[in-house]
Amino acid sequence: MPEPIIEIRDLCVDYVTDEGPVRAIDRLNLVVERGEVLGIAGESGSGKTTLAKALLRILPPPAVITGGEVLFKGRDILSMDDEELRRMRWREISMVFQSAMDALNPVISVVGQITDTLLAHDECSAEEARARAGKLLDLVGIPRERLDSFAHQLSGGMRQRVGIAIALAMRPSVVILDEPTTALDVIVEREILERIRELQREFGFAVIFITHDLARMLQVSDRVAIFYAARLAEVGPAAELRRAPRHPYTEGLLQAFPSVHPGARTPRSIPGQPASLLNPPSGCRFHPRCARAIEICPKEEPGPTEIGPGHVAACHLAK
Amino acid sequence: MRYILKRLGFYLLAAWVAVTLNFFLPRLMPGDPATALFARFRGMLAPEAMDALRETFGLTEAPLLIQYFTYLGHVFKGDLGISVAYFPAPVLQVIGNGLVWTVFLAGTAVVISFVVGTLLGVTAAWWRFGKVDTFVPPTAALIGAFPYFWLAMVALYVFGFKLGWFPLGHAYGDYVTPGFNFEFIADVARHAVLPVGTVVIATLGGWLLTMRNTMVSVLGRDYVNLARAKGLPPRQVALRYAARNALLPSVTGFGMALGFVLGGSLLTEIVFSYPGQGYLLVQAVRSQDYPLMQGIFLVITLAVLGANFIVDLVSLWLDPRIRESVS
Repeated sequence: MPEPIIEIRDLCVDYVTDEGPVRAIDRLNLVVERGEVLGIAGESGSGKTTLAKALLRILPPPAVITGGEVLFKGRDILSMDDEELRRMRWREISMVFQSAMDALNPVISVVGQITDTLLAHDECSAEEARARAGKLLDLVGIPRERLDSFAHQLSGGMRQRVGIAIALAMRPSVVILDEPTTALDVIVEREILERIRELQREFGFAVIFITHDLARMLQVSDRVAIFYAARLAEVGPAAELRRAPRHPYTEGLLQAFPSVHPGARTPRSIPGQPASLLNPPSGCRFHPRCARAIEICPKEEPGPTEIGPGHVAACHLAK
Repeated sequence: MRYILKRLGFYLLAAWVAVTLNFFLPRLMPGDPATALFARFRGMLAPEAMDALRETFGLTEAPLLIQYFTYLGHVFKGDLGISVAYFPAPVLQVIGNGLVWTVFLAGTAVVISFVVGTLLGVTAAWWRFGKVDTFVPPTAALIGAFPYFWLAMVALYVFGFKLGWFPLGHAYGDYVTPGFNFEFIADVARHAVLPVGTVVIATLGGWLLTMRNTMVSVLGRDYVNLARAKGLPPRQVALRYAARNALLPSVTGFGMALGFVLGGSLLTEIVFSYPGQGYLLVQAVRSQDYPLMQGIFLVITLAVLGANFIVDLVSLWLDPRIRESVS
C-alpha cells in the first residue's frame, strides 16, 4: 500500500503583476508517495518550477502562495515558522536546480557549498564535514580532488553532479529535480539520470522529476502528472498514461515526440499557442486547441474524474 | 604570483609615464618659478639673486633631455625640489605635512562611507520594499545630488557657526599640544566631524545604490535560492552567498575612490580650512609654486596606481574566477 509523503491540497500560487494577479498554480491536488519517482510535465509556464519552489517555500517575489496546504508527513509546510521551515529544508526535501550554470556559487568552492549545508543542520567538526563531502562526491562519481574546485572549473555535467551531491547531503526523503539535464548533452543526461535512479533505489527517497521531455520522463518515472496552463490535466501511472492517455492534451504531447520504432507515425504537434495565464480561456483551458472539444468544454471547467486506481484526468470526455 | 608581478610591472610602467608627463607639462607653460618668486619681492632683489634662485630651483639652460634625467634621478631619491610658496622648505616635507591630514580626513570619510553605504545597500536589498529600502536610497540619492561645497557650507554654517557644536576650521585647536595624548586626539576628532560627516553624507548614496542594485540582481540568482533551500541561516544566505558576490563591482569602485582620496578632498579642505593636500594644491596654484604642484600631482598619481594595485590583489582574493584566468 503506497503511503503519501507529500499531500498537496488546493494549492494556489499567484504572481502579482501590474495587470493584477496571475495564477500560476490553480487549485492543485497532488500526492507524492514515499520512494516513488513522480514525473511532472507541461509546457513552459505551466507551473512546474513554481510548484517546485513552492514546496520549499523559496518562491521569489512577486510570486505568492495564496491558498491551500502542503502536508509533509502530515505537517503543513505552508504554516511552518521560519526555524521549523529551515530545519525541514534539505533534511526532508531537497532540490536540484534547473540551470547547472547558475546553481553553484561562483566564489565558494565545491566543498564549501557542501559543508555549509552539513554544518547548518548537524553538529559536526569541519574535518568530519569535509570527509562527508568527499563521500557525497563519491556517490555521484566525481573524484575527490574536485573538492576544492570552483564552479567555473567544472564541466556542465560535473556541476549538475555536484548539485545532486549537495541535494543528497542530508539524506532527504524527497528530492526535487527541476529539469536537471536541460543544459546537458544526451549522453551525459542519460548517465546522470541512471545514477539518480540507482541512488534512489539505494536510499529510498522519493523523486519529483520536472521536465518538458515527456519521452524521457515516461522512461524514468513511476507516475506522471501533466500540467496545462496552471492546472493539473492528468495524473496516473506512467505505463498507463503512455498506453491509454485520457486527456487530449496528454495524447497530443505523446504524439508530438518522434518514435524510434520503424514504420512509426510521424510526430504531430499540438495546434495553437499555449494558453495565456493573464487571460485564460473559459471552461477547460485546453478547449481552443482541442480537436475533440464538445459544447460543454468552453462553458464548464472539467472536474477531476477518476478513471482507474490513481489515474485521474480533468476532461469532460473522460467521464 | 606571475600575475602579481605582471600587474606590478604594468603599474611601474604607468608610474614612469606619469612621472614623465609630470616633468614635461609644467615646462610647456609660460613663465618660470624663479621669475615668479623674483616678482614677489617687487624689485627688492638684485639681478644676481635671480641667477641664484634659478640655480636653486634647478632651472638651467641644459638641454631638456638632460634636465629630464636629472629630474628622474631626483624623484627616485625622493628629492622633489624646493617649494616656492613655503620657501625654503623642500617640497617633500611640505607634502608630507599635508598628506598626513588628507589621508586621515579623506581616508576616514571614504572608509566610513563605503562600509555604511554598502551595509545599507545590503539591508535595503535583503528587505526589499521594506522601510529602509523605501526611504534611505531616495534620500541618499537626493542629498548626493546637491553640490558638495554647498552641503559643506550649510553644515559649517548650521553646526559650526549657528549652533557652535563643532569648530569652524583647521585640524586641531591652538590650545592643544600635538602628540599622543587624549586631549589632542579628542580635539582632532572634534575637528574632523564636520568635514568627514559631509563627505560621508554626500558620497554614501553612490555606494548604497550600487550595492543595492547588484545585490537585488544577485538575490534572484539560483545559487542564492539554493542557499536558502539548503536551510542555511538567513544571515549566511545574505552575507556569504548574496553580499559577497554583489560586493565585487563595489570593490573596484572602492579602490578608485581610495586613490582619488588624495586629490579629491580639495573642496572639503578649502571649506573647512583643513591643512591637507588639497589646501596645499590651491596654495601652490595661487603662488605659481610649480615644484609643489608637480610634487602633489606625483603623489596623487602614485596613490591612484597604488590603490589600483591593492584592488587587484583584493579582487584576486575575493574572486576565484580571476585567480583561474591568470594562472
